Amino acid sequence: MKRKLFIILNLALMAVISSCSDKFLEDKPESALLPEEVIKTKADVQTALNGAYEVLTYGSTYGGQMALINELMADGIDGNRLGNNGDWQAHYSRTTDIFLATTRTLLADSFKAVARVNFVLKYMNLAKDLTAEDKTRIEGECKFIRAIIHFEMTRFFGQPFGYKADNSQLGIAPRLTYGNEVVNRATVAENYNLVIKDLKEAVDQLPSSNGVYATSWAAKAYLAKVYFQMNDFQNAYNYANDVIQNNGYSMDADFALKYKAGNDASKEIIFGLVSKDFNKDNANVTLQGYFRLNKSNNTAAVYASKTIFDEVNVQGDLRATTWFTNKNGITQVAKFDLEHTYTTPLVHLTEMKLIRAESNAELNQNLTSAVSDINEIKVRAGIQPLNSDAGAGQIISEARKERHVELYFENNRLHELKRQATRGNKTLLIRGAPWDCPGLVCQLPDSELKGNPAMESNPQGGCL
Amino acid sequence: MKKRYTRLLLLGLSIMLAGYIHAQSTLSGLVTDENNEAIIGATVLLEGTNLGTVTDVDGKYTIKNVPPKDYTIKVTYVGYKNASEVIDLRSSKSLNFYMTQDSKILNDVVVVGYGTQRKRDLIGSVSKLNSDKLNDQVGASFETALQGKMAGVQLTQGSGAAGSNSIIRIRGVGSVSAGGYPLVIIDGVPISQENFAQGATGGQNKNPLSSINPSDIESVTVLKDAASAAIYGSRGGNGVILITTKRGKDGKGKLSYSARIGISQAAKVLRVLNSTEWLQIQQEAWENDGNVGKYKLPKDLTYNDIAGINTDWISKTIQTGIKHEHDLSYSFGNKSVKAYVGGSYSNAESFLVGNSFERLSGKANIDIKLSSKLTASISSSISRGINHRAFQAWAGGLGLAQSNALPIFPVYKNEFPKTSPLYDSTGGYYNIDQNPVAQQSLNQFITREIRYINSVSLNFQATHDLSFTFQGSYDRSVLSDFMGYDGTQKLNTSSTSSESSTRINNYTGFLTGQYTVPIANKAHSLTLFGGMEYQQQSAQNRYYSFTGTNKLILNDPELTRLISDTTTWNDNAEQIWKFAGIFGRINYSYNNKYLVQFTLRSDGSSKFGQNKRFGYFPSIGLGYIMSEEPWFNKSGAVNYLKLKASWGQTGNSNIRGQEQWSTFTYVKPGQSNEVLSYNGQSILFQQKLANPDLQWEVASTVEGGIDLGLFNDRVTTSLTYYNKLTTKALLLIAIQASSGIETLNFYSNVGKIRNWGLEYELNTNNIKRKNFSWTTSFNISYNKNKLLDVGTATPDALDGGFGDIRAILGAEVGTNYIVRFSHVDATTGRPVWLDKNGKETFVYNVADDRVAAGSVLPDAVGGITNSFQYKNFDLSFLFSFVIGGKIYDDAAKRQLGVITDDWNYFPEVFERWRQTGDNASLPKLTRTMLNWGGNDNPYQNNSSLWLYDDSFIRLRNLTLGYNFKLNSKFIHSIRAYVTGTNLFVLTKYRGWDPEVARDRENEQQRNIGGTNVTYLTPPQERSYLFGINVEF
Repeated sequence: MKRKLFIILNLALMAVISSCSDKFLEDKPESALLPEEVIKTKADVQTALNGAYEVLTYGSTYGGQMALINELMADGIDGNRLGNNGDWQAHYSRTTDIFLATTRTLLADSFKAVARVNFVLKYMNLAKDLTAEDKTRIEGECKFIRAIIHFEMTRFFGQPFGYKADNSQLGIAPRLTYGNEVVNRATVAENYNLVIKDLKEAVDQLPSSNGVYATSWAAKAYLAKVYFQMNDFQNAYNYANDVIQNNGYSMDADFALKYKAGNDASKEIIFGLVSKDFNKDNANVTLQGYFRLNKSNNTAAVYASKTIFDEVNVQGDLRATTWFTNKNGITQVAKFDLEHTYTTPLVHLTEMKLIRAESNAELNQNLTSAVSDINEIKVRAGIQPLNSDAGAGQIISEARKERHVELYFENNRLHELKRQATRGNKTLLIRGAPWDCPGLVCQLPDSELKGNPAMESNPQGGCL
Repeated sequence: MKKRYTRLLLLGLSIMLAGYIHAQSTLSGLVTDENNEAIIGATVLLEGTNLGTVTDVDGKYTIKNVPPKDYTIKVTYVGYKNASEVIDLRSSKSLNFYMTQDSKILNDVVVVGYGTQRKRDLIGSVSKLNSDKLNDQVGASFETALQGKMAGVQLTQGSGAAGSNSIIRIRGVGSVSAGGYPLVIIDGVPISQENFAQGATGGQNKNPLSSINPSDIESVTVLKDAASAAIYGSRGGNGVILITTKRGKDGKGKLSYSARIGISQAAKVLRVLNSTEWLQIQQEAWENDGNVGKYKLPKDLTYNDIAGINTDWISKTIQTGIKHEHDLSYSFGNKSVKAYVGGSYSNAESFLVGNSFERLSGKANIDIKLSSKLTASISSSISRGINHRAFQAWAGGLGLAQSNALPIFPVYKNEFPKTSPLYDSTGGYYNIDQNPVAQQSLNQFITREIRYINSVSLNFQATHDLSFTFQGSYDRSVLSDFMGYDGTQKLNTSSTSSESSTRINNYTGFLTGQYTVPIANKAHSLTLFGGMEYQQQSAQNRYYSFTGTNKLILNDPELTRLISDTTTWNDNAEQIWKFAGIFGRINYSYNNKYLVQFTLRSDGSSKFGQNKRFGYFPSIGLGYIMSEEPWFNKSGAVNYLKLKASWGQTGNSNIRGQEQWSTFTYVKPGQSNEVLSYNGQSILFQQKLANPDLQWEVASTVEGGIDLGLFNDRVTTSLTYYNKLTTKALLLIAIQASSGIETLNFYSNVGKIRNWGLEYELNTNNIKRKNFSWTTSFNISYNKNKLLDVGTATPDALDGGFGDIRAILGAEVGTNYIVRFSHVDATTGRPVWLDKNGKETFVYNVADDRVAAGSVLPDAVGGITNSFQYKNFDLSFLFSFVIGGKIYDDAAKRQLGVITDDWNYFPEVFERWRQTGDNASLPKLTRTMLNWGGNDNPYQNNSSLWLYDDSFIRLRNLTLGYNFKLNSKFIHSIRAYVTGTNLFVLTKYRGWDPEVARDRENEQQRNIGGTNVTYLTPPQERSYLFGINVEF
């Protein structure tokens, strides 16, 4: 009898547990949500899209590191004053390996922007109140962001366009859908094709004016940059010329305005990353942190190299004193020494003029326009303009010099030197190292390799 | 006359015949043991007949229909010496037997899941340690005493720092990404151990068990195999530690006081270079690199500034610590109430300056017999641990003293020569960043834990055969990490304070029932046991941080928080998990010879995905006590022989809750995380993808063993083989970074791990005389670990943290995955590496040439204890040992590697190459990493050059005691003793200590690289204690 009782009791309790356990073991936290529960309205889509722009401002991406790595690996940083930062040291000596925090964050964070736009592309249709016009614009913005990140990543993690005639060298694993799927590396040629395709579609889909967000002009300006990187001067000229002639932006009278936000903001930024307040958003603080003096002990994280300072410090160039302070042979960068807010330019009219000028010279056409494009920049800096009868060769060399100075610490130098090398200067040395040595390409970080056993790593070193 | 005789004969015959047929006798009696307790199920046989029976529940037996004559009655019972007596049934009808145990050890009662068993009836692999063996260090957590004492249990003590963590491995590493620690149950309460995973602030993992007072513990039992652990289902996979605390015993009140006092030192102190040597090394490297003139000093110091300065930083960060401990307890028992009440205080300073662990605890266990059938028990403990932390390893203190604190730096500015511009007569610290003395003085780092473990249980003995037990418990712990920095006093900068506090509430309730099935044939014994359990745990972390000029009272975290402007806490999301389980166990034995046990548990947990929430964990065990066979000659050399075999499945679910859900992050301007907004607008993104197939790991264990008793149990020994295959092992699978997914990994049940091994235990009673005895206990366990499947994970995906330690397919969980160093090139002095194919090269390439170069897992671990008793003296010593396995010194790449301005070096650095033809053990000194053949980052120089053999044997404990025999009514007994811990260690390893569990960030790192990878980790402690126990 008692045995029966025991069994019955147990069976009853078992029944109770199994009937309700599914529910009481569910225990779903508040933050546990599926995309269907998150994306319901146009506002949700905009919020998700805004998250992609936010990534671009990270210190690990456009907010600092892209620019820093360019200068470290090329010739913009004083290598004797890098302190104990082993990662920076590795970039400087062109010996990056797979365990660097810098390349890990550069790659992972940059691709977060791609993932966020791919997420928007995948789930935006869940929002019932999106108009066809909204959809077109949002798609355009997504493709724009995806393209510029793919472009940057291909430049950091692959040998440059033109390294091989067919550009079959490995680039990056492109990401065109949202998810955790394994993707293998594509060739640099394939990467550039994707970038151009996305940008061209963005040109068609984006409006010409879109607040601080991407516009069709931004997409065109980026097309100019991409074609210029490919040494495709005709296309570079076409897009740069279109932007300059038709976009309505104007050159700042004062070159120093380029980074300023607020009322006296730059008028020449075609696409940049805004900061409302350093205390309230992450935008660009790291970029500033690398250079701006720590006011309490008067030291900076990195200092400018003699190479860049010698380039600018001639003929009483105003930029030498506005963007730099030089004491006892130690050059600090004052370019980002702004309070509270500023804008990180990704593409601006100055760069368009430099692309148009150099492309014209390369195509040996419109040389007068080319001279005037360059002189606009030179005069603004208070230095001697070019003679109006300057030849193509001289224009090219002056354009490159101005590009060096104007785009200092703007995510340019390493890629630019490699472009020059692929433009018929196969013996070019980048701070003493052959332009195509393996170490001048960042090693893919372990965080990219370990998720995909088939992933091929970049070769190491070879630049000594 | 003849007729008369014939008649008489006939009469007599008929009487006899009648007596034979009609007047058969009945024999009855009682069988008891030494304690007058009834022995149930003893076999009573009339020799030479087939008559016999088995004693009933009261120990009584009755044999009917016995022809009255002389008999030899034989009583046998497993574990007892056979008893036999001759009886004349014509005159006696009753006979009582008094049996004595033939083996005390085997009749020990052992705690098993939700109950107890006699050791002889055990089928599973269970090790037990009693309280007297548990407490060899003052201030250390109880589990540290397990080292070297149990086969199959590897205990690695973190370091000698007070409050240091341990790594407990039962039968090897059975998990990769999920927590590999065993389930710990105190008096039926599965306690929370989440703090293991709370990161490594200050260079040390916290110990979640350290606030438990070892003095309250009666015994620790470790369930190692599936047959015994399967009753704990999804949580028994890495073994179960059952702690039983002291309870009141029958008898008059007993008051005990014990105290210990002693000192703590570092088990080994290494030396780094002094100023002269350091400058010599720097100068040589300077010149080797082609520089001329004198080496340029760091921090723009001049040679005049440092003249005469030679700071021995190590001696300034270590000390002789004082430890003391006091325990007072009272226990009594009568018919209705049994109680144990204890209180304890200890304060243990370690050898690290500023480091101590203070524990105050109280404990009450009360058992009340409410009626003859109902017993209520209340167990309650409260303990408070205050750990004054010293920064260690990479975070400062002794770690800093041997790394960035240079001998050419003074502690105070007034140590500079008066001619130096840096001289400051008012003192003041020089260069706080590289000054451990300053950091120790300006910082306060206190970890506090308060823990209550409370339970109420009711035991209802419904009938003699049927009983029920209900227990409800509440385990609460609040663990706070406080850090404060005082910048106001000497530096005129701001002060900071911060605290991170995690409170864990853990509720458990279970109901069990046990039924002994009455079977007429007493040769059979069948016990049914079943129950259900529910557990819920919530953990919430909150924190604050403050910067300001307020004068903080840093040694008082509470006051500091109130003084700080920000007294508001920021809450992190609450983590909740739940378990529900139903379980049963059937024990059957036949003739006490054949044993069968079957268990099954069904568990459900909120930790797992919607698709895989429930699981079943069965086990079956068989035992055969061969020495109980009638043909077995027990008086031979072997007096006891048991064979056992089992198979079972257990699970492991040591991951955080809520891993299976997709989550989103939503940031609005104005929120605390608004720095993540853009353009003043909100953002949102998916934090983590959903993982609905997440489930527990399954460990299937096959085991076989033999237990032997020799020479009347003078020698007992056992050999056990096990083969544990963990399938569905949780691996944190890496997602390619380019996916852009915020959380770049997810748990996937794709791993497969095998641990197989042999465990051998030997206990001998070498000498047993009235005034002198000597016993020896020896154990050794061999374990072989192999990772059989990792899915698509690459070696770097299964990362054990710094020191390039990995879980590698086909090799061990805990493999040194590094570039192999070959030798120093005699011509150039450069290091020669081996590429992955074994070809020599000057190029150091981590992407291509890392291989599995060693394993940090030992081949075997064990210990040997010898105990002597001479008159009133007793002496015992324990050696624990580790055979095989490597240790990786992750800091050696700096302390012996490339020369930089900001590190100090070990004297072995002088064994460097100097000139052509040198066969040196270390390369030519250089200040540029590029000369080592790889990249330019001096921290990126892991190689087999820093990999050492870790075998060691240490004298873990030596105790000499004296027991005063008193004839006092007031004092019952006094024992005084001295104990030395870690008196010496024999090892080939050149570093601080071959036993190390370094600070790690998460469970995966603890499993893979938890042991035997060191980075400036402090050594173990050597302590000398004097103790006294008084019983009143």
